[in-house]
Amino acid sequence: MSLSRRDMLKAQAAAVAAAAANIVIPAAAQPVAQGIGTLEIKWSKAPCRFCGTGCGVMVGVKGGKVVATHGDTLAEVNRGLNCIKGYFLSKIMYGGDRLTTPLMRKKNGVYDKNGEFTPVSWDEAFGVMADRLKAVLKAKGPTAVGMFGSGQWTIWEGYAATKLMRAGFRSNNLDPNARHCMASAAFAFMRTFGADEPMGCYDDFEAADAFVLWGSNMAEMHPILWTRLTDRRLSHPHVKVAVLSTFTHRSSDLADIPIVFKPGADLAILNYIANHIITTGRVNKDFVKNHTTFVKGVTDIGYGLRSDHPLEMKAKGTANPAATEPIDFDAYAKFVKDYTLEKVSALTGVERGFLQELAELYADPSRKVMSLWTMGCNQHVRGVWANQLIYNIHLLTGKIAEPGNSPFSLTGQPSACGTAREVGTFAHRLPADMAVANPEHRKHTEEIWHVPHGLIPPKPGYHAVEQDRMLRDGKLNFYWIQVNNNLQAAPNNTQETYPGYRNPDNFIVVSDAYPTVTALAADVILPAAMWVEKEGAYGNAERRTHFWRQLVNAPGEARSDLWQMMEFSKRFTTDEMWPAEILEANPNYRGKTLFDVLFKNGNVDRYAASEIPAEYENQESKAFGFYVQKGLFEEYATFGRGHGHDLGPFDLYHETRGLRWPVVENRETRWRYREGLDPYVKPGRGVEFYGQPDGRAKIIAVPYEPPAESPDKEYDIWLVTGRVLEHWHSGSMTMRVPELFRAFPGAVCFMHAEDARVRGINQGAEIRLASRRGEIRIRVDIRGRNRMPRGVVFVPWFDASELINKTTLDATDPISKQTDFKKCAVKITAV
Amino acid sequence: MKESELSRRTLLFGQLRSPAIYISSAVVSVLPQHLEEVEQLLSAMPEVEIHHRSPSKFVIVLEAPDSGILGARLAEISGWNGVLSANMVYEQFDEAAGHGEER
Amino acid sequence: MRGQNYCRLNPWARPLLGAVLSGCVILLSGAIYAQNAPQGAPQIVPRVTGNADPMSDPPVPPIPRPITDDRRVMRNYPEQPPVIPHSIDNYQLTLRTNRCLDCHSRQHTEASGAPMISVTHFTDRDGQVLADVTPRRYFCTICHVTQTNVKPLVPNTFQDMLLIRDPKR
Repeated sequence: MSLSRRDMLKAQAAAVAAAAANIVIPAAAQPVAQGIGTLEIKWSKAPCRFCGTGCGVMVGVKGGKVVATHGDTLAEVNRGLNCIKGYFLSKIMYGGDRLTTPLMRKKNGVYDKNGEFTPVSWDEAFGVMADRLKAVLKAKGPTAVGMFGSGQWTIWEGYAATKLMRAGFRSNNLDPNARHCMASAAFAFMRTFGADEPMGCYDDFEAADAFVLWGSNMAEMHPILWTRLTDRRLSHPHVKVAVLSTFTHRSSDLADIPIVFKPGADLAILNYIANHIITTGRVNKDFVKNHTTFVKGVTDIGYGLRSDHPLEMKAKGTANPAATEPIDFDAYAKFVKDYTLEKVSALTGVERGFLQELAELYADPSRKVMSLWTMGCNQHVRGVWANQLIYNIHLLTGKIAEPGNSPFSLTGQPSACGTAREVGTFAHRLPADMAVANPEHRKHTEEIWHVPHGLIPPKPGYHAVEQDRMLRDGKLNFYWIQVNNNLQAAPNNTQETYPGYRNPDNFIVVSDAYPTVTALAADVILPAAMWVEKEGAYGNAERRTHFWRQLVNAPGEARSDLWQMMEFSKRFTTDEMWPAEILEANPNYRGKTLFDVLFKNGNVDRYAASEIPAEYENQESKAFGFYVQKGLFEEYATFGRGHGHDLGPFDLYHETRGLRWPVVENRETRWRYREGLDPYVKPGRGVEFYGQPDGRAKIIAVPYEPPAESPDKEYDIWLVTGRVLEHWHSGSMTMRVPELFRAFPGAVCFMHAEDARVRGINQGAEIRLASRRGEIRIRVDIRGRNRMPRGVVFVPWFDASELINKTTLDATDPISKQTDFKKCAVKITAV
Repeated sequence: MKESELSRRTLLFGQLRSPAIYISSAVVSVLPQHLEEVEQLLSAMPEVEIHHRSPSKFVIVLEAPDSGILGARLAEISGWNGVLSANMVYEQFDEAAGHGEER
Repeated sequence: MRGQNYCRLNPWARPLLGAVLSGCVILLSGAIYAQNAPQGAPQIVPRVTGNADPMSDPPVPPIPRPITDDRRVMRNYPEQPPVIPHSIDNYQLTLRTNRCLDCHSRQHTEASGAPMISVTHFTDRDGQVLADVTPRRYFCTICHVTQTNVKPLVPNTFQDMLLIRDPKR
């Protein structure tokens, strides 16, 4: 029985006995309803800690503890609803094994890579970290230093990280775990529209006549958006829902057009739809003529594996996989003409009737269509293409950038957009869609940061998968991981990730709230404050920036990632870290700490801590003596204001349930690129994709190309990995909530009954699931919620004891460098 | 709950039941001059909590996997010097786990 | 009522039976406290921390069974969606069928004896009260989940709001 429940029963028992004995109990000691004061809970708003939907929650606090959470009725995203995970937010911070003190591997009282985790002070942990970092820099330079961050960082944490890494340690080896989930979407946005993130917003759900899910199980992964879609479908009988996937799942239960296709074949379906639109004469000619251009992409671009892999040696287009050349409409029409109904039906395994019905949803000019996608499209060796092919069909029909007509890329993390993408924590990016490789962008950044010119290195750093490879190869030696569990999340982790962490040349630091697989494979673990234990901001999938206050204190010595980075920066001086020639040219920067030049730079320390309302704590501002979050946000916001990425004033966000950028004159923008809806569209243009110099979006001709690895005689079955409703990502929070754990208490392998039978496997039996990389033991579920076709199995990755990523392939999209977690070949045998 | 609890119960009752927990409250009447002494003894007992006290009475809450253990504890308390009576007032039986809790 | 807790007022102590059994002392212990590890180091709880050797493949315990005892369980806080105390294997929840509503909708509770879905479920996105369950609440399993007969991996120290005294008062 939980402490709570037992205590409730005891209090009740005591009250009865006291009454029987005529003992008068003082009001405060009574547990139940004694005076209105004891009933009071302080409610404050916050965004949910989990997925990219960005639901608003109300958080109830009493006596310094979160005691309840519920859906915020004033939040436009969810209007009072939460999913099961959201309803249990109250318990995510209270797992009994919260980390409350820094831990370091030690032997005989000193740091030792092979020692045991021992509690140490922050001073000792930072001391050893700083010594290591300085030694690595001296020996190998900034490219041997790296950081792996997260789409769960708050906006200011990601912003502080990019400053510390690029201007402080002078390394671009900063990448977020969003590389695993959003990189393909981000690259496709940049390639098509010249600006990241969706043009539409969630209001499209109430305006669309059809919904098409491309590789997204929203019913489990974006449940609250699913309620909006369900609401629209069930309330308006003319609305149609098409669900495309490589297996049948809960979202398929609502589908009018359920489609199960062969893994990787979505590219062919998308080109078929384009062909159907053209051959049936339903191209929106005016729109195409005025607002688009056509390009053709390089093909045979490889699979983002190590360069000595046979598949990479064989591929012809690996030198510049992102290159395109201009073509015209006729050439494009000719290109997609190959994708006939017959051919595509045979290639995909989908009935012709379903393909035609699907194509008609897009082709019919009277039907407003919202396309929705997540990891099926993004975690794809041709993920950028898949995203762009969806834009193609919306652009050909002009079904874009207006209510209900919306190609919409969903996100998996609460701030994949707000932090990872907008702040620019990718190895190649800077804030507000700028790139490190662009000298103008670097100069502009250095100016805003008040640091000398020439400081930010021009070469993009290692992306996520490359970081693991470089760790293993001993080229990346100081590595700091924050707010993610990458040893569990990364592909092929037995061969690439784990050997890298345990490589004797490397020093690995993990900041987390809980002891995860990743933390326990590190050398130093730093205890982190989480969610409402700090003031924060997230940016959701519809460009909504949403703030919250610090509502409770973190346990023990746990500190936010923001505090950790800022405090750590005090241990380095410009003289140690910056090149002599830069200091010679800028002598006023000599003798300063990185904290002085990055965070006490006249911007970040501009606002007084006294601006924080007295009813809320703010540990970072207390520690550093100024309103840290406001200073960081306002400096960051100068990047985007006036350039189509405008964020509103800091204080406004604490008063609202979030605002969708661009926020111009305190007003949010719901639909971009359309005159009258977006203040950035020039009058008279109607539609303007102003991210591109010519204001036109790009329609791209790219073919179907096969996955990196397909089943063969030995490894004869497809493996698809993903999530379940009850657990979020690696499960480090949700598996510690008893109700969520007991709802889905361990990973299982979803499998077709016949596939199991021919291998002599019964429901619930233990199996060995092996690939060419590694293997796990797991139980089989042939009757579960996911109904698999023959030849495909699904395994969720939340279970730390059954690490499915031991078997996955580290093949990535060569353009976005995002891993394909959805397609590799495995074999299954009974144990 | 420990495994031993399950097997003992199985043994005693010849059936498998979920582990249970008994929570009961009792009033302990004491001679005022022995109040502190009794309080110390009560505090030292396992799974016994003092919830309220008056100059001559304690309200205690006891917790055990079996009703009998509660009875035994009360019997012991009532035998102490200065204790006039130790009477159970209320008893609640619950399976050791509610939802989302240990079982 | 079936499956609910019972409690009773008990005027008499029962020392006799108690004396017979008083030799049995049972200790409660949470899962993570049982492991051995150096002082202060995190405990290994495989499903959340990974196995002691994280890349190893120890045997996997059987899939736990759903709890089907029909006992209502106290909520952690009033807003928490109650968990489902019965199995929902093979329940159809589709465009045309909703097995949950067959018992839990207002018009069926008398026959089924099941609790009626909360009135909050009758309100649409715009706050209008409808005659029946709002379509946005149609897929019950988004909020309501079954439970299995397993022990939590780690204790959760969440405290009930009625047991917390605000130190500021």
